[in-house]
Amino acid sequence: MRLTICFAVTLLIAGCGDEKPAEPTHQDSQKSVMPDATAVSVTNGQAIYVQSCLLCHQHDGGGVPDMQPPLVDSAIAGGDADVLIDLVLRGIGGKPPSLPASGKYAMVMPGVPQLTDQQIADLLTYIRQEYVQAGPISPVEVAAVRAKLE
Amino acid sequence: MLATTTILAATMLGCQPAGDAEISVPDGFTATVIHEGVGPARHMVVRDNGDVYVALRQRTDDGGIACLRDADKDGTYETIEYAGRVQGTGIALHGNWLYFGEDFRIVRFELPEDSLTPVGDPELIVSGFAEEGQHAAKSIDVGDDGRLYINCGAPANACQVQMRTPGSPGMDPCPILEYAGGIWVYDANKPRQQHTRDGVRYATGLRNCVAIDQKGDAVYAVMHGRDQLDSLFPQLFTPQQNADLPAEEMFRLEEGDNGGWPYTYYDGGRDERMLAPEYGGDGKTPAEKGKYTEPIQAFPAHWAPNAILMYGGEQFPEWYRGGAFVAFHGSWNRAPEPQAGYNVTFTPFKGGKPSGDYEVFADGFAGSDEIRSPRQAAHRPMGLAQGPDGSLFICDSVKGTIWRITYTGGDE
Repeated sequence: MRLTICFAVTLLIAGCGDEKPAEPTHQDSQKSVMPDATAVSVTNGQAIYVQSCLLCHQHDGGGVPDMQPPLVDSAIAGGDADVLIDLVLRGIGGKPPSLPASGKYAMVMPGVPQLTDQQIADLLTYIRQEYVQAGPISPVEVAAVRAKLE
Repeated sequence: MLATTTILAATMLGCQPAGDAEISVPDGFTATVIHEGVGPARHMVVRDNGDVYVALRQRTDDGGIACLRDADKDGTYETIEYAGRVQGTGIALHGNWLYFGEDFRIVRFELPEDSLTPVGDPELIVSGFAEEGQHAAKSIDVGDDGRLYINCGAPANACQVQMRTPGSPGMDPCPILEYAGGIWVYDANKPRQQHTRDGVRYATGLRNCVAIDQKGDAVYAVMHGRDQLDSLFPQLFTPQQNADLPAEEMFRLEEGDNGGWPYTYYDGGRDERMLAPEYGGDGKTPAEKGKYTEPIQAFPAHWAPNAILMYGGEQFPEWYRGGAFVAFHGSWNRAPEPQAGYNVTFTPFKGGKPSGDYEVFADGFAGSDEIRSPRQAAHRPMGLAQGPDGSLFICDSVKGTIWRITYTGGDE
């Protein structure tokens, strides 16, 4: 997994405004850049995104009109960490969500509580860096929210 | 067979040609844009006098029904008005009534003879639908028998215990089928009916049939098949298999039929109904033979059939008469493969069943050869209707562009 870090960093530099960003390949590798903790988290989180989130929120985080909301510039994705963690753990909860400004989205997002605290932290750190330019989320924060829900 | 036709919009309504998506239709046909964009269109109908009515997903300040008229019958729809404090998918005509299917209620408006717009307040016909999101769009049809048919999509993918959760088993029996996942039929003229108390479950085991058309003694329907086979059961299905499975099934439904959702899905490659992984399937085990209604045609996976029109006109050549046009909204869930659909197909029929494979009738709506996400599509085919002269109308959900397809090829 560490070998894919530079690819993730390249994605971040390129930004998310492209209409057709390259699909994650996890094959690029360079050893000249030393990863920091966030970069590792972003790389791991991207793999989780591909597995658990991409189908609905799409390869570029843009969502699907009327179906799934975009993550790009999402106030929820870039907002309060505890709210975001709760959303990922429990999902939308079976009610049709009414989101401001953009109307209703038909799909109801499931929670992914089966992911570990570290995996959810990585996933959200990736989403926040890639799509809303917000700060990372730590496993400690995830664990705290999970404990409150249990 | 397909030839690009010029969209003749420049002289109409002062609109510019679509440009970003010239659609192609078969030789002998002409596609004409009659309106560049009425708004976020869903289904449409055409009245006997030629007036066009389009249901909008989000209503304008003036209303959620776009009403268009070509008063001098020159092919130019000079007049457009919006009416009705409603928004949704379903729309149907029956006598001097215009029926409208919102997500959680069906209403009707009086539509006096010669009036372009419906008048008065909506009259509630059916309410009490579960407000659960997912597949809530209520497509409707008042059938040849005068009854009101309603698609009640299942608020689920595959009726799992834990919704869309990897490995979660399916509920057995699936309780959703008591109130959704089927087509219900109601008295079209009786107000304030309650779902399910006052209706009859006409057919069940249908995940979501946005495309329905009642003709003769059957409902022709095309179903949105389930998705996420690979992400929910990665040990059984690859992403490539998810892109190709399951088929979108076309049914000829009679009362009491069962399309097999959520217990089964249809594998178009094997041409066989399979046991769903939520119910013990493994991608190789067929469903119990004879238990469920077989599709009369299998379309590629995830194309999203959003309208079906059994062609009853005489303008089109003999090949098309009695056959089925299907509007495919286009997929969003084939990643990592490119998205697909975004076209209108035609299936020839004889004796109430397909007499041949489907063919792409109208294409090019998306405006690009490769679509990775639906947001890239310039247009997404959504609604179909037949005009009194046998013309075919197509509307799209992105801008609400409306095309009229006429046969101009001369004698057969």
